[in-house]
Parts: sequence; C-alpha cells; structure tokens
Amino acid sequence: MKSGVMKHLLILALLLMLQIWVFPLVHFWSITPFIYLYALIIWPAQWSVYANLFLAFVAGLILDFSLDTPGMHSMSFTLVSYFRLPLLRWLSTKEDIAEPGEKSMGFLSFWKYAVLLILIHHSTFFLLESFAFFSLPTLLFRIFASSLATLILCFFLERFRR
Amino acid sequence: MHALIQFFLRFGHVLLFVLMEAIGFVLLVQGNDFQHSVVFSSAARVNGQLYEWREQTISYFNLREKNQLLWQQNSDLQQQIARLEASLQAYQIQEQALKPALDFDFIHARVIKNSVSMLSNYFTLDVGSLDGVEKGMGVVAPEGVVGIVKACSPHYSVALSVLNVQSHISCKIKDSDVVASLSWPGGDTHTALLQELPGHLMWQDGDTIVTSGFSSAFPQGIAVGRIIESYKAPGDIFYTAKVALFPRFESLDNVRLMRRKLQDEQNMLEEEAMP
Repeated sequence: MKSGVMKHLLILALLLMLQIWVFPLVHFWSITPFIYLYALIIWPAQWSVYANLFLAFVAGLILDFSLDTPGMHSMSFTLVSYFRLPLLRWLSTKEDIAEPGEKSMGFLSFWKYAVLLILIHHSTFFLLESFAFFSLPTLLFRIFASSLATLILCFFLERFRR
Repeated sequence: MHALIQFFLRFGHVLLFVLMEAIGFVLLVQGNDFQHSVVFSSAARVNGQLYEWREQTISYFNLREKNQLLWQQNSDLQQQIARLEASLQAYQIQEQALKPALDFDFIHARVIKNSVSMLSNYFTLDVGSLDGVEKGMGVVAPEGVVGIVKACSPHYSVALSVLNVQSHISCKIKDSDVVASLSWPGGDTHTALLQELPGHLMWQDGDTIVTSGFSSAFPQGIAVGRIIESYKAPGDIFYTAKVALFPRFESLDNVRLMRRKLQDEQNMLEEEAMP
C-alpha cells in the first residue's frame, strides 16, 4: 500500500516535470497535450475523495505557477479529480479494481473512462483559457485537437504498463 | 453539534472541492495581476534559475542557423552603414542639425522560457530590474518585434508575446502613413492580423509592416512582418490584413530590449498637461 502511494507520487512528479520542462519545447502546431492527466487516470480506486482532490489541486497549482496559466490547471485538474471516482464506478463492470488500466478494467471500459476524463479536463481548461479571448471555432478546435493528442500519448504510455 | 459533524462528514468533500475551485477562480480572474506577482510566476528566483539551466543546455541546438542569421544581419547592417555614410557625406549636414541619433537604449537578453501553444503566451528573459529592465520595454529579436515586458523581478522579467490575444502593437505599412494595430487571433504562430485598415488607402500584398513609433516601446521602423492577403467583411468599411510574422516564435533566443531615453521626461510632461 505504502509503496503504491510512492509509485503514484513518483509518476505524477515525473509527468509534471515532462509537462513543465519538455513539452513547451515541442510544438505540434499550437496544440497542447496534457500528459500529466495520465497520472490521475491511473490513480487507485480506493483513494479517498480527499486524497484525489488534494493531490490534484497541488499539482494544478504547481503547473499554474510554472506555466503562467493563472488558475486554469488547478481548476480543471481539481474538477476531473472530483468526478473521477463516480465515473470509474459508473463505467467499470467489475467490482473493486485496484488500479484503473486496460488489464484490470478491460480495453473498452478503460478507454471510455480515460476519454471522458480527458474531454472533461480539456473542455474546462480551454473554456477557462477563452476568458481572455472567446471564439467558438478556436475553442472547439483546441479542445478536440488537444484531447486527441493527449489520448494518443496516454495510449502510448499504457503500452509501457506491466 | 453531532448534526454538524455529521454534515461535515457527509459534505466535507463538496466543501473542499468548492473551496479549491474558488481559489483557482480567484487566480484566474486576477489574470493580469498574476503576471505582476512575479513572486509566484516564472520570473521568481528559483523557477528562473531552473529555466536558465535548461536554456543553457538547449542553446547549443540550431547554432548553425543562428550563426547564419547573424551573418546575414551583420552584412545587411554593414551595407546600411555604408549607404548612410555615403548619403551623410552627400548632404553635408551640420552636426547640430541632427537629432540625437540614438534615441533608444538597448539591453541584450536571452529568452529562457517561452510558450506558443496557449492563447495567452508569455516568455521569460534572463535580465531584470537590476539590469535596467522596466515594465513596458519593447522586445525585439534579430528578425523583428516579439513582445513587450510585462513584469520584472530583480534578475528576470516576463514579456507579453506578440502571440498573445491581449497583445496590441501599433504598426504601419512601410513607406506610407497607414497606421493600424497588430493583434493575434490565436492558433497559427506565423500569422497575425492588422485590423481597421482604412479602405481608401492603397497597399499591396507583400508590403512590409513595421512599428509605427507611436508607442514608447518601439522606435519607428522595426520590422514586424509582411502582408499576405487583405480582405473586407461585407458591410464593413475597414480592411483586415493577414500578416506573416518575421520572427520564429518557437525558437526565440537572443533578443534586445528597447527603451526610449527621454521616456520619463515625456511621461512627466504628459501627466502635467492632463488635468
């Protein structure tokens, strides 16, 4: 149990560092994938709502202060962390899965769960971003293009799970 | 009391969730102030130092291209000097008749952190108030205008990129009096828009856009971009032009900061004149 927590904190820290240090240097047109969402997607199902909220909020603040995105990461990340457990319960056909993944949940229900989380997160994030400048086509394009980019990266990371 | 504890046990997570979202929202609506609070932003000491290390590591890439660019610019400048000297001799202007030739101070800086993928993009520079940087200074890359300083700490400063939906830069079409404001609609990092161009004045696709010199951030005539196409919405009296920006914002590196020398004097005078 203890090592499980350490493992997840380590994954989160690693993905946050990637997001802050490496991703701004790589440019896919002007699309932003949010790879750090993968850390949240695979958080264990037994974690309490409080643990989910707290970890997501702190991670969001770290991103906000490093990437100059006032409140955007903390709000959207906290939001998905809040809806993650109900979503998991709703979409999972099996009882008590330790850690969400293709193996434990089955291919289809895991990716349904992941896609929903990604869409909720990206919609919130880009909606908040459009406070500065609102244009519906830009907003929709950014939500879907970035969601797709994040999904592809998550799919890639999931291949490396043991 | 028991009921209260029961309530918190039941709805505690809702309250925590709402509280966290509220904190996030406060940060969001403060928006611009967030940039000013350099303590928290990327201009803070620790963050700045980390970004500086990263910059030092990655600055070895594209050295060849950058060298090429500097050579190009150098030879252009040499040509320009030669031309200017020739015309100076030709005109034989007396020294006192010349206006102070260099009206602007320059500070050299390096971009240590940069973003182009958001709608509100900023970049961080490795110079701060101790180096003489002030809010409102213009930032220029070898190819052209890239942004305006928004906040500075003692050692670092953060600039609002041209690729920011809040950025407006006063520009004009080179060799004409057509002045318009350059803004960025998001998306493509290579094009911006020049809006409210008066319809009766003539220009052509391919015309160069330069700074107008009307704002204190930039002297007149610094390159910005080139018009690709212009169009007019039906019923509109103004034209909008698409401008291909000269700098490559994805790989900003060496830049100069500019400040008009007599700006303080002008500000003071203007303040005095205002009731």
